[in-house]
Amino acid sequence: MTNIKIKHFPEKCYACKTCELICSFHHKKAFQPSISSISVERDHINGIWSWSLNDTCDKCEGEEQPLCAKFCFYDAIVIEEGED
Amino acid sequence: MSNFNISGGITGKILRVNLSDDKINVEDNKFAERWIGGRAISSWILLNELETNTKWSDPENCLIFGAGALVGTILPASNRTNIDTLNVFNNGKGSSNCGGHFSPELKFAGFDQIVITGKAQKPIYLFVEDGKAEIRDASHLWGKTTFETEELLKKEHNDNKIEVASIGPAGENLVHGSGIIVDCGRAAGGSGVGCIMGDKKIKAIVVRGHKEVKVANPEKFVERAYEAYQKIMKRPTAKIFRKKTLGGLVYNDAEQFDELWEMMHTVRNSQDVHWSREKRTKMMGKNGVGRFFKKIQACYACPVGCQPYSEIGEGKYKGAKGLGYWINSVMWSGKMDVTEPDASLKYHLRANQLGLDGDNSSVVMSWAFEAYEKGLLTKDDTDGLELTWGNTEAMMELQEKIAHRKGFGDFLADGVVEAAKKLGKGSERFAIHQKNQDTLDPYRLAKGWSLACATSPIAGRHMRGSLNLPIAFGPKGAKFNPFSYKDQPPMVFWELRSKEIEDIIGICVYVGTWSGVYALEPSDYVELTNLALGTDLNEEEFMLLGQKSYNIEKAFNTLHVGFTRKDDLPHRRFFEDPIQSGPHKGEKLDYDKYNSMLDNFYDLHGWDKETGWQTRETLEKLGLKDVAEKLANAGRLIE
Repeated sequence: MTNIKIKHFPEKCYACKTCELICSFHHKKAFQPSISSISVERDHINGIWSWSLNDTCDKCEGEEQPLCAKFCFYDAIVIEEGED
Repeated sequence: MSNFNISGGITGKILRVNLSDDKINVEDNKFAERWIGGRAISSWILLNELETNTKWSDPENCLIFGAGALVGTILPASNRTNIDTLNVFNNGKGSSNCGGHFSPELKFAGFDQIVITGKAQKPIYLFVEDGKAEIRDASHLWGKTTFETEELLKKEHNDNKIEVASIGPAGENLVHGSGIIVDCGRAAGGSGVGCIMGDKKIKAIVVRGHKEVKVANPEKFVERAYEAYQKIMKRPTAKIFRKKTLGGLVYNDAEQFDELWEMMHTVRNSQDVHWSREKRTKMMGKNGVGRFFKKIQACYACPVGCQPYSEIGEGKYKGAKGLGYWINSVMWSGKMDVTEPDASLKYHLRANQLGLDGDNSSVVMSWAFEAYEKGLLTKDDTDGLELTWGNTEAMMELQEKIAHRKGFGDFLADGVVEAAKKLGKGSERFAIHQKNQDTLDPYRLAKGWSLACATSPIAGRHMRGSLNLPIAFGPKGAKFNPFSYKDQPPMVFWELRSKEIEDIIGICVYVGTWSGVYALEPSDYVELTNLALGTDLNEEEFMLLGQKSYNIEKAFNTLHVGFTRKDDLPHRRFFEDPIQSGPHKGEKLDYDKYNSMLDNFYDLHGWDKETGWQTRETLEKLGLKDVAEKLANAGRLIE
């Protein structure tokens, strides 16, 4: 799955962190957000949520599709064809 | 006595903090093998570790933060934090619960529960990280709002990923109706949990975790959890909430659901239930509170997304911004007949900043409005405030006065029962409380809601089985007409056990059986729990565990306060004062029918109908022989 891109649409993101959590599961078969390739931060007072993906992302090698997109029920993470 | 063999889900550790001698210990979670997790564990600790004469303000009182057993896993909406302690209104069981992102972080920090005893000499905050904890000075945070506190702590820790549960000025000033605020918008209200935190001089609990939460059957658990997400998303309301959520679908559709509004609402200190369609539309129609809506922030791992972020861009309250606004917020305004949407939103946001529980404080405030209406209070008593129905300014000012215990606010700050005692003049007659705690809820129309609130072990709160709509679940073949007395006991008895399970595993009711999208049910919970924990429970055993958990709270109240059957009846206003207007004008509760309903409810529980107390036979059947012995020793068990 190297010829795909993981795209995040901030306007659709609700900062539920499900992507961050399931990403850690891909890496470790346990739930540990601190080793996730994704990081979500929330500023509750100003209503700003930020999302980032680091270079430990292997696009969920071995899975049918990247789990972050599979578990995003807000359609904020979308898989597109092509290289990053 | 069940003995569960648990191999996943929980962290297996409990953090113990004694603020009187600064001692911090980590112990094994030996309670999980009997109680799984969440509130059941916290209730069990309180039952066994508090002397029955302990008062809420004694240093011996415990304040317990507990994560559900599946919190921190990918189970949808598994993020609930249980907060358990003595109830400041009656010294019985205190319990509160909130969503957000705090509890998952607590699990990643390595703990299932934090148990705090003692009192600090000066303001402190507790920093919990990766299996350790530190008591830190919070003198510089004392007096700050919850918003300011979170912002300052994030700066000081140089870490935006810390999670904070804090109190505002209300908790610091020991206002009885004060809550604990998480995520600057998720409020654990009721029982005065914020007051307990203030009494112990704890400004905040800060958690940060880098550890893992393992489950027993990882692949199967994730597969089954994914099915649970899909089940939620297939429900008709799942995607509507996130678009129109101001406490849910109903409240943006003010012109619809007339009957539900009648059942849910209380107006002018519960004198009425009817709020005209015109008033509802003004508050919740297109130009109501919804016009300030900007976006949604979801709780941890939740696909529903029910928490609005709003900002007021015009008028007197311009610049007010923040998270949340629920049906409760509408009810607070209805209590004082205020129909200004911007004021109502500001009032909600300010309650979160002050750490004031709007459910409690709106009751005592509306009591004061009624006392003013009846001429029992005058401007000389109220610092010049004109407490006339619909007076927005008075509502806003009184909120500040209560939180800071200033002037007339101090008179109201211990709750409606104490305020009425001080005023006298017959004002006790309309001091709306249940088991001494101010109660927001409606009691006249939806009988299942009424029964569950009246009998709730946490005193007049609606999160213990209350019902007003026919639900998709419940016992097979049960009928449900919300207005019927006969239909309620089996449904409430079923729902309260389901709710206990939800709080044991830490899943939100909005994806469960009680409210929101009505998707997951006990059969889902048991499968997911078995895969996560490695247990071999069946649905019946799980419901029984829920029943046991409820019975611990019941026993706690019998031991500590001695509540009896009379304390399970609603306030006399609901029996004596008929609804004043609208389609249900003239209706009130029927005393005999209500008592028959209560008899049926006690029968289902296997409790004694005369006293309302538990029986040896029932407790032994539930495997709670040790609880029966405690009650027998106190002379409060029916043999």
